[in-house]
Amino acid sequence: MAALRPIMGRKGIFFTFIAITIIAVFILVYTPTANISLQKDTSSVRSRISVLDRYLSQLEGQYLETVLRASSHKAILSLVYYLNSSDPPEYLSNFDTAFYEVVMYGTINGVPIDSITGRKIMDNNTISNWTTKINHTAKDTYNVNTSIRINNVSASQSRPWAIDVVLNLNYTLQSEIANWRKDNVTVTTSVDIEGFYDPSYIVNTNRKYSPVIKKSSVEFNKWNLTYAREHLRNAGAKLFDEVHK
Amino acid sequence: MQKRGYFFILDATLGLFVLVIGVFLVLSFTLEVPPQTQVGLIAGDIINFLSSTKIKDLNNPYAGIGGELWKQGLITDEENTLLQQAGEFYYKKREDLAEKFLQNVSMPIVPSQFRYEVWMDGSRLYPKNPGPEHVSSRDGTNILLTSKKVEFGIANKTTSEIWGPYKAEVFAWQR
Repeated sequence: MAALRPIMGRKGIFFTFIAITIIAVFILVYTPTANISLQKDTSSVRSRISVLDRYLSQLEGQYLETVLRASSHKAILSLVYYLNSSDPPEYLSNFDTAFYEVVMYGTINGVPIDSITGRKIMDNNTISNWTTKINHTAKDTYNVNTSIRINNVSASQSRPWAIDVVLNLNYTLQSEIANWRKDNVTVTTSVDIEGFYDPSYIVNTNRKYSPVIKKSSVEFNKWNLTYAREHLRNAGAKLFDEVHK
Repeated sequence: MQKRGYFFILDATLGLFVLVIGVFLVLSFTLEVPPQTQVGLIAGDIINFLSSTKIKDLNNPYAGIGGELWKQGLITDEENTLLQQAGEFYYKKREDLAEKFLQNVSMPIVPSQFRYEVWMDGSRLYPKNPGPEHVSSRDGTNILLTSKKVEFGIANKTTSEIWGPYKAEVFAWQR
């Protein structure tokens, strides 16, 4: 008993060692985890940003162009049917305003154009519809809010066989890690006019002759009365109706 | 008093033992972490392959240019990516074709130790009707990773009919 007394008196040292050991274990357990977590976070943020960058590139470079071409094609088609439905047929007083309203909202003078033409063309196919759809899908896919504000849509003709359409917009993309904002983005496309009813014939013949626009294989300096007759005979509307019913 | 040295040696040994056990446990936890990166990469690789390879770039007797589907007129746009083609089949309610198409183009590129699924717009396109082995493998896996993308395309160029935008998703896991 006498020999153990000094050892019992040093109980404090024993507890100190145990405490140091426990602290060492805690440090070993938590220190590497903190480092790995930081690396993982940085890498995941970088990866997420690159995914959203690719999405924006797809939105600007492919989606908006495809949507603009499709909606413009349908808007022009609707406007030709609209012109054909007026009695007597007459040209649009303001094509730019009419085109904007139809391509954006599917209406003309505030009335749904499909209800006037009796054809379901613009229903669910306006630019507003497509921007809403991409917002929903992107929210579901990437958990981001895509907000697209259309500044203007205009159509003009610089070449004989195509209509050039220009879309100007601003967009913002909001995610939990970063926000993107881009103003005055211009998207351009062209719509082939082949296959549309020719409005000039509809108006000038009072719907008696409504051919579709069709490129001729006859060279410009080879036209004669026979070719002209044959062209008029062949420029029927059958194919057009079959395609767009 | 003469046995004080033994006490400290015993104490140091005990301390070392506790430290070794601690380090061993920490390392054991680290070693038990499943290989997430590889599974994560395979899901991304599959969706990247499907969304960046075009029909015209594919050398496949079933799905490529001049292949079975091409000859039958079921594939008409060589500029479509594989994922777009699958999306177009889904839009046209040809999910049977979409499944066979995806199986043909993706199976050769996915290592056999992985299983995967391709979904479009919330519907599983491949495999359409998974077998019990597939289901139990999926349910039992510790790590199921996904890679997603927005996909859309043109269903009819003449009428400017667009399909989508759909959420395309690939799930991958180890067998």
